[in-house]
Amino acid sequence: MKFWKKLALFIIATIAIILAISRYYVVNNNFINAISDSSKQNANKYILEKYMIESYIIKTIQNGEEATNEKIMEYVQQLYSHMENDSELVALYSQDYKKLYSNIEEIEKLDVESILNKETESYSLRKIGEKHYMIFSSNWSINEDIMYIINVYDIENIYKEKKRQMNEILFADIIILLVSGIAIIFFSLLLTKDIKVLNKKSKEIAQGKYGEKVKIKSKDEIGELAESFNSMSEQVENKINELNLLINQKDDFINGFTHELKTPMTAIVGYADMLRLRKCNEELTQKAINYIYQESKRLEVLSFKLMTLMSLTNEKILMTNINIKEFVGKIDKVEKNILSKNKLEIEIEEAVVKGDYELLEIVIRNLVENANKAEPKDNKVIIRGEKTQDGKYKISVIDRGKGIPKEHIEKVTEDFYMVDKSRSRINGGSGIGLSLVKKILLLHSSSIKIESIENEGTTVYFELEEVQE
Amino acid sequence: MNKILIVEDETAIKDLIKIELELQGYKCETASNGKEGADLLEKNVYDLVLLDIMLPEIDGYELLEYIKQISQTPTIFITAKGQIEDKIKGLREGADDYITKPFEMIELIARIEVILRRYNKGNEVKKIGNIEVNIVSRIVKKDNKEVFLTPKEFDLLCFLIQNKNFALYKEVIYEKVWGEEFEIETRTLDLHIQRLRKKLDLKDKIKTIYKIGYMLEV
Repeated sequence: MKFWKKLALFIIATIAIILAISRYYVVNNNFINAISDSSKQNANKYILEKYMIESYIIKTIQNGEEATNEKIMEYVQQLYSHMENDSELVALYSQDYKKLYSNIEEIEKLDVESILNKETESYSLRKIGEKHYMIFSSNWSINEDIMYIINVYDIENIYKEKKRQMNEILFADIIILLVSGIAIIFFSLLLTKDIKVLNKKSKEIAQGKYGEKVKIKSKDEIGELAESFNSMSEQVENKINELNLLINQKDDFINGFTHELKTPMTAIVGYADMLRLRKCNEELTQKAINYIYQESKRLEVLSFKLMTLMSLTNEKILMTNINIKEFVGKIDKVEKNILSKNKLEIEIEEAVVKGDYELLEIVIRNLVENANKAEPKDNKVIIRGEKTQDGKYKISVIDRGKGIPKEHIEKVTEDFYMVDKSRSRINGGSGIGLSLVKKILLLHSSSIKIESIENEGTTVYFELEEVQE
Repeated sequence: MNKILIVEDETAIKDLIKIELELQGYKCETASNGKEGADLLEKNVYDLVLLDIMLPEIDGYELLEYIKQISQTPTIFITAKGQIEDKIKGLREGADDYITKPFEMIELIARIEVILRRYNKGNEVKKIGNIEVNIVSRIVKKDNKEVFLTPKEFDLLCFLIQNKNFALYKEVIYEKVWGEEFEIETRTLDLHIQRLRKKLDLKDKIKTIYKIGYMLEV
C-alpha cells in the first residue's frame, strides 16, 4: 500500500472512531437524562394515585365497612376510567398474584411475580411488544390480606427521541467524514509528492545519472531529507568522477607503459631473430648485438624506475636526519660520469633536513639528469640549497637549457610524459622520472615546483622540513 | 627495385627495418622525424612509405596528409598504439595498412609485398635461374613447365628465396615455415629440401652448410 494511502486511511479511521464514540456518549447521556426526568414525573403521579387508593381504603374502614377486594377494584376502575390519558395504565393483583383488575392488555406478557416481589420502591424498564414501559409497583396489607398494584407508564417517545438523535448525528458524522476524508487524501498526496520526486531521482541515480539534484525547499523533515539527498548525490558524483579519473590515469599509465615497453621489445625481438636465423657477417652481428644490449638496458632502467614507483605507494619511508652538504657532495661524485660535458655547481647553505636518504637521492639525480638533458648553454647545472623564512629548506636545481614550453609545464610530471620524445629517448629518458620525483616528494609532504622559460632555462625546486638544532 | 622510405624516430627499429628490407632487395631511405620525412618526400619518389605515428615535430597523421596531397604513394603505419580507434583513424586518413609494435619482420615484409602488388609495383613472380615462382597463384615453373609442389614445399621454397645467399639455421627455418618448435629427431625439413632439390633440379643451389643448415645460393 502506498504511503499516502496508509496515512489517509489511518487518519480517516481515527476520526471515524472518535466520532462514533462521541456520538454514543452524547446520545446515551441525553437518553439517561430523559429517563431520569420521566421517572421523577411518573413517580409523582404514581405516588399520588397510590395515595388516593390508600385514602379510599382508610375511608371505607373508618365507615365501618369492610374493604374487600371487590370494592377496591371497583374504585380503581372508577378512578382510572376518569382519566382520559391512555398512558395511565394500572393493574391490581391479589395476595396469590391473581389479577384483580387491569387496563393493560400486554400485562399478561410480563413476568408479574418478579415485578411484585422486588424489594425497592424504584421503577423498572420493560419492553412489551414493540413498546417501552416504565413500571412501578407496591402493595398494601388489608385485613391480613396483601394487595398489589402495578403502574405502567409508556415511555416510547424517549426511545424514539434516542433513535432520532442517533440518526441525526450519524448523518452529520458521515458528512464530516466525507469532507475531512477528501481533505486528508489531498493533504497526504501533497505531503508525499516530494517523496515521489525523491524516489524518481534515486532511480535515475541508480541508473547512472550521477549528480542528479532535487528541488524541494520545504523546511520540514522532507526538506532535510532532500538536502541530505542532494549532498549525497553530489558526493556520489564526486566519488564516481574520482574513480573515473583514477581509471583514466591507470589507462594512461598502462598505455604509456606498454608503449615504452613495446618499442624496445620490437627491436630486441627483431635483432635476435635476425641473428638466430642467418649466419650474418661480423659487422651486422656486432650492430645487432649492440642494439639488443642498448634496448635491454632501456628496459632495465624502465623496470627499475617502475618498481620504485610501484613500491612507493605501499612502503613506509624511512625518515632520517640528513646533513644536506654531505648528501649533495655524494651526488656530485656519482653524477660526474653521467653529466659528460656539463659541470655540476653546488651552492649549499649548511643544514640538517628530514627525509628518506635513498629516495631523496633518486629525486636529486633525476632532476640533475633532466637539467643535463636540457643542454644548458653555459654547460652548468646548479644545485642550490637555502633556508627559507618559515623554517623550511629549499632545494633548487637550475639550468640554462632549452626550457619547457608553457603548455607542457603542467604535464611534465604525468607518467610517461615527454616534451620532446625523440630527444628524451636519445638521452635514455623514459618519461617516468618526474612522476617518480613527484611521488617521492608527496611522501615527504612536499611537492615539486617548476619555473621555466623556453630557450632560457628551467628551475625546479622543492622544500623539505629542516631539523632545528 | 622498389624504393621505400622509413620514417621512424627509434634508431634501433629504423635500422632493423632498413637492414631487413635491404636483405629483401628493397632500396631504403630513412628519416627520424616528420620534418625530415616531408623533406625527403618532396625531393624523391618512393614506392612505399613506412610511417611511425608518434613522431617528433610533425606526427604520422600529419605527414600522411601531406603524402596524400603530393602523391599516390602507398603508406603503412607502424606504431605502438594498438587500440582499434587508432587503427581506424589511421586507415580512414588514407593509410593502406597498419602494423603494431611489437611485430615480426616476416609479417612486415609480407604486408609490404601485398601493398606493392596492389599498386602493381611488386613482382608476383620471382626468378631463380630457369625457375619461376609465382607467389600469388602459388605456381612454380621450371623451363616454362609447371612443377607440382606440396604447400609446405612451396612455403619452404619461398622462405629460401626470401633469405637467399644467407646460411640459415635449420631450427629457425623449421620454426618459421612449419610454425612449430624444431625437434632434433625430425627429418621433415631435410626430406622437404631433398624433394625441392630433386623436383626443381636445385642440387647445386640449395647448399647444406655444416653445423648450420641450408643456404640458397643465387
